[in-house]
Amino acid sequence: MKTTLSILQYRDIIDSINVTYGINLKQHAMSSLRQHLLIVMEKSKYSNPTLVAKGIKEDKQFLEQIISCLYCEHISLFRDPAMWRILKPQVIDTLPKSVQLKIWIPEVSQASDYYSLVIILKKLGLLAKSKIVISDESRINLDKCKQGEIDSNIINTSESNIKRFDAGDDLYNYVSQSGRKFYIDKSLLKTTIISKGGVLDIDLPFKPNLVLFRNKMIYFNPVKEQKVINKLHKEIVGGGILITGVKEDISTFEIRGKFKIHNKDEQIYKRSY
Amino acid sequence: MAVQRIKYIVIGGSAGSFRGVTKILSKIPKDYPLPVILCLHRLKHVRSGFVEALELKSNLPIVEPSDKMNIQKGKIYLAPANYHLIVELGNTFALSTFDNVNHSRPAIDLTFESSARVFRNKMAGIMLSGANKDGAKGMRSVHINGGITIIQNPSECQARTMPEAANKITKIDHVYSVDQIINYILKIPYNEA
Repeated sequence: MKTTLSILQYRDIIDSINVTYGINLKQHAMSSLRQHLLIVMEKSKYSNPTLVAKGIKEDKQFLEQIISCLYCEHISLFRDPAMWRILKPQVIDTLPKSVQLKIWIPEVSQASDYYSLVIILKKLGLLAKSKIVISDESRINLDKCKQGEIDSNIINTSESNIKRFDAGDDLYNYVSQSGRKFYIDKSLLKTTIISKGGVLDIDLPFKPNLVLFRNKMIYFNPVKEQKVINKLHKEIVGGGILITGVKEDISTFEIRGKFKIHNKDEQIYKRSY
Repeated sequence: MAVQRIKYIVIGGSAGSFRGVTKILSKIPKDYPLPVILCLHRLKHVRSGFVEALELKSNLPIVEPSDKMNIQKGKIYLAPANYHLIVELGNTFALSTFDNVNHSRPAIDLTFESSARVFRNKMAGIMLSGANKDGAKGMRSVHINGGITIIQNPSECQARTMPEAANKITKIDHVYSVDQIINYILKIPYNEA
């Protein structure tokens, strides 16, 4: 039978998560979060709204499961190869030469952008000289990142994408298989700082000059999106770069005096000084 | 059929639909007052070229909506590559990177289902040629929510699976050729369909 969730039932679940765990999901985009809950319900033993309410109160693992895929993403490594191609000439090379790359990837989720980034930095000989912090609300996601785990469903597309990015390269130069699981070369991850917390709550160990925050704001409502833009402005150093998803046009929000468009096609923004 | 209520046109298509879509677009006049939302299966990794190919035939510019963009009258919207296109309460678009649905992103089912929830009986859902079952469940949502369901006549489709799948699981109000679909779309704003 098809799982269903009315808007009222959806609101009850969100309220219940807030009351039970103090996690406020009211500022997530409703259609997406509702769809996400439906997927979680279909895959779990809590298959109807009454059972979900019970699960939230009694089963913290179930809540972890909900939080771990809040961004519902199914994103391959090197998604949007054009963006990755211009990362060096239009982003890294525009930062002052003497400045160390300090990168923040909030809501790292399934880590596709994180893994893509460390591969590129390795190829450019910049990985050892860079500082990277990844953060997420979900302990499950952060543990997977620590292990370098890659969702097996994205391997084939990732293989094709890396060739589109660099025809001479091969994903398996950086990825190995163990049983049914795939892992990125752990040596690429060893300098990364892992931090638990949502984008609005996190205290960073440094001020980043590059933030990768692609296809995450699509899951926020406009109120939270503006808050996140303000937070990113507060954290990124003057002249630093923010990269959002190619269909996340933050120029429709109040960014005057905060960010300027650096590359419109790839939605790359430069923080004002 | 009371068509005066129709304020939104949503069209889904896949294999074999390009010719039908461009024919429809070529007949929609510059001053057409309703929004037309297209969810067409397309290559995920190719972001440019498709809009331009459609615009060659269209009298109106084709817009690939950004997330949270308002839906406006008289615009033609195309689901962007590698995102699902969802209609949100408040008549805005939302994009998502959910897993593929029916092996597709954008998935026609998600666009139809979300449109049906928001537009209810004010929409017409039109299913063109295609080679899988994506969109069939969405058409059922359109019907359940009081919208009008139209499929391209399978006998003129290059790939008939999609319209036939919709016809199998829900009540279809009209089975039309592309020319009849064009007539219908053009007459809706003037209450003549």
